[in-house]
Amino acid sequence: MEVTLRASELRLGYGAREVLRGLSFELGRGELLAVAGPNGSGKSTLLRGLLRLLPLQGGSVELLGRPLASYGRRQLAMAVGWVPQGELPQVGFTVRQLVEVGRYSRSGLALGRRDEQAVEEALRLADLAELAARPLGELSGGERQRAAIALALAQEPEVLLLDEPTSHLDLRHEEEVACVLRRLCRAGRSGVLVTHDLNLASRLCDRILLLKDGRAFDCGPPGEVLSEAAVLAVYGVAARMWRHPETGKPLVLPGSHPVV
Amino acid sequence: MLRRLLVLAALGALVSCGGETESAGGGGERLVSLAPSTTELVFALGAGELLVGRSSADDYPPASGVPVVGDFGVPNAEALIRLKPTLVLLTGTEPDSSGRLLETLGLSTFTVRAGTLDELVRSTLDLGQRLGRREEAASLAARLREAARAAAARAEAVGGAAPRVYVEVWHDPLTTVGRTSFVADLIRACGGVNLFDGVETPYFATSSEAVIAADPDVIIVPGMNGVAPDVESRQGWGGIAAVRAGRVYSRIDPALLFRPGPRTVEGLKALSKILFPEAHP
Amino acid sequence: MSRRALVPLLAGALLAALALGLFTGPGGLPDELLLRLRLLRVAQGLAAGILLAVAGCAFQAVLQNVLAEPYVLGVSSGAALGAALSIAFGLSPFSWGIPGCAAAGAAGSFLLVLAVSRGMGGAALILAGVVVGSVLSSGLLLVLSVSSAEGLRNITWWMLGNLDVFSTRPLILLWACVVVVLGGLWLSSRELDALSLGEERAAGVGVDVRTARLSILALGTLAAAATVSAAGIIPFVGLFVPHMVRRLSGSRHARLIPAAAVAGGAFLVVADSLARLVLSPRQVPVGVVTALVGGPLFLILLRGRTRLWR
Repeated sequence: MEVTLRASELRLGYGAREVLRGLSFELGRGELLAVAGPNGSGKSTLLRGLLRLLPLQGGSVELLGRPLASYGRRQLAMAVGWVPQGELPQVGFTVRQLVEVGRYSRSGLALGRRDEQAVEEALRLADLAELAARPLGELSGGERQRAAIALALAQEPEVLLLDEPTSHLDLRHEEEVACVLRRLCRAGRSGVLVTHDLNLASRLCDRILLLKDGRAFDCGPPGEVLSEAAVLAVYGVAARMWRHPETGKPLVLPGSHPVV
Repeated sequence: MLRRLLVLAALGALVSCGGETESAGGGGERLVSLAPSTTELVFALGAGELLVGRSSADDYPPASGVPVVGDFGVPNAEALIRLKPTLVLLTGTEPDSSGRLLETLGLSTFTVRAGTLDELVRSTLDLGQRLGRREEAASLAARLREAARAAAARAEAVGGAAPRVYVEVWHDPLTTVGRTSFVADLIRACGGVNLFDGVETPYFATSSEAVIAADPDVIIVPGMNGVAPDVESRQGWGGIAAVRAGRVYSRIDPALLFRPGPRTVEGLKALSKILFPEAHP
Repeated sequence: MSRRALVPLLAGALLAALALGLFTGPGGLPDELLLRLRLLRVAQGLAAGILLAVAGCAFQAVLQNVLAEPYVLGVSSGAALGAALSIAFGLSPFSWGIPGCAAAGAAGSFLLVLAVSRGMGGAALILAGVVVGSVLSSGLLLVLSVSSAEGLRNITWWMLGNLDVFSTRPLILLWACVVVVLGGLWLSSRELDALSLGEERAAGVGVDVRTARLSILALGTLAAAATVSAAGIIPFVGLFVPHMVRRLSGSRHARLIPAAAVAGGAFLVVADSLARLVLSPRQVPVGVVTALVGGPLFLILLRGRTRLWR
């Protein structure tokens, strides 16, 4: 499988405070990789490092076969799309206007045909074609999150980085977003999904990278990585494992004793 | 023994000197003035030695040597307590807080009202009475009245329409005087008309356009800190009657016009010559 | 509101403002001389209105704060202090006069804000601006307290705003600023759009956030500084006009900025006409008019905004 992103002995931190102490992993084309771990284990820091918002303190990153450092700012935006944590600010854009912002790295001062096509494609992928002309304020939380994803998609990136994209969404909207993400990966894009929800990672992602103390604790398919021992070691929480009756994917059920 | 006698003699001399100062004039007055106008008046009445405190704004006579006890209209409580004045001179334009402070300190006050020339004359006489300087006051009042009379006579002699006068206090925004200002009264006394006599406040802001539309015959720009703006080159001002006739006057000490007091005599003379340059004494 | 209505509406507003500015005033219907004078004054009002309105748009986008306005970084305090020093002590280095000293004060306060907030993000800028503004305001109060009575009056009146024009040279300078600021900000429309989504998302789409933020803030500050130096402190235009125009033009800056420019210019010309007319021959400070007119209008605008995001 073609590798789109390769990190070796990655060291990242904020000044003197080291957060990632030598992390190595690979991301394949069409793969959705979950990055999970306790708070402070370096999940968001990792994304910031991949986006070059934080300087590398050690190790190297290769993106699409080239060193990350060799990318210009625009080139990087054309290769990597980012959906940061949290809701969109309350701007008065319509959905289409929001997505058009994503063309920044590819368009000139005015949007051309190519840009319009890319915007339409991004809207289609995020299932927002009917809502394109609506103001963001009229959308539901899930629809807005899909718009945020469409914004990143408009950059036509090879790799998509998402930071807790469904944390604030209810079940239905979470499903909508999950659908979109799966569709994207089937179409050949790679994705890194930072999440604290192990079960979401399990049912959505091809592999899980479990972080502990700034290092990789384990990396592999959910069935191999998620175990009671792993959950206890990484989170310090006793949990039982179960299998989804239909998909067969592992489920983490926290708490070995019933809550009194 | 000899030393003791010398000390006693010295003390006696000091006491008698003090006594002399106290008995001359208003019975041992210790005056505090809170405005330049009243300070000038006190000195003009020959009572300068009675002044123990002045305001920071007072600049005439220069180097008077009198200590500063506050700002314009605003006394400093500690300074007043230290100096123990017997009389505080006011102008009637002080903020309420000053009046209350003086009341609290139990100090007598004397208000020298001078909104118009007549008021100035009357206040001069009253102050002279109060300070025991009746003769000096009468003399100053007479000079003021004479200056006014001379100005009126000059206006009469030249005849013709009363010149309409624009006085510019400040240039950004254009600030001028209304009917109730002291200088407007002076202008009237000299046989002129203040351009904006229709406005009842002493000072107000106006626009370039309003001045151009009102078309004054005379423009007086005393300026501030010795700097006067260039009026003639202003856009649109070239067509004003005063500018066309070259009757723009900027070399006049603003104190002469705006500060009611002994120098108003010179102010009236200067103003009269500005308004009616033809008549030569 | 539909797109089509925007251009005729703005054009109409501008024409009405120009008519008001040129044909009404203490001098009545104008002859050639008066018309030329009014033309200059209208040009000054347009320039100041354009600068304040587009600066308001820029600050609101970069600081992601809908209550941001051109003076939020302490520029007005610095300019007022500079002007006050000039008025109170007769300072006029290089014969700059009051506008020059005000401009120097504005530039100084901006540099101070930059230095104080070095290396920190957008939120730190507002904080630094508030702090620097407070310190400079205290300096201003100090100057006021030691000024003569005339100085006090003159400083206060200057600060309240005045669009009177005496010569063409400062007007030309002001319009040069308009060209630079309006052009610069309009060309930065895409950056402004991105920055209004937050610095993270802007960085994500490829914007050089540090450079864009700095240059946009510098342009906005230039606008605010130029206006304060030329005409004193005129509140509300930078805060209220962007909000009003967004309702009509949408939030995309490629349309918002030119629309705000026209609206801002028209608004200020109308305010200035009222300032000249209402109490003629007295001139109400134009800053008072913009506050008295803009304030209630802003309240009405906010009340109409019943939709909050779900």
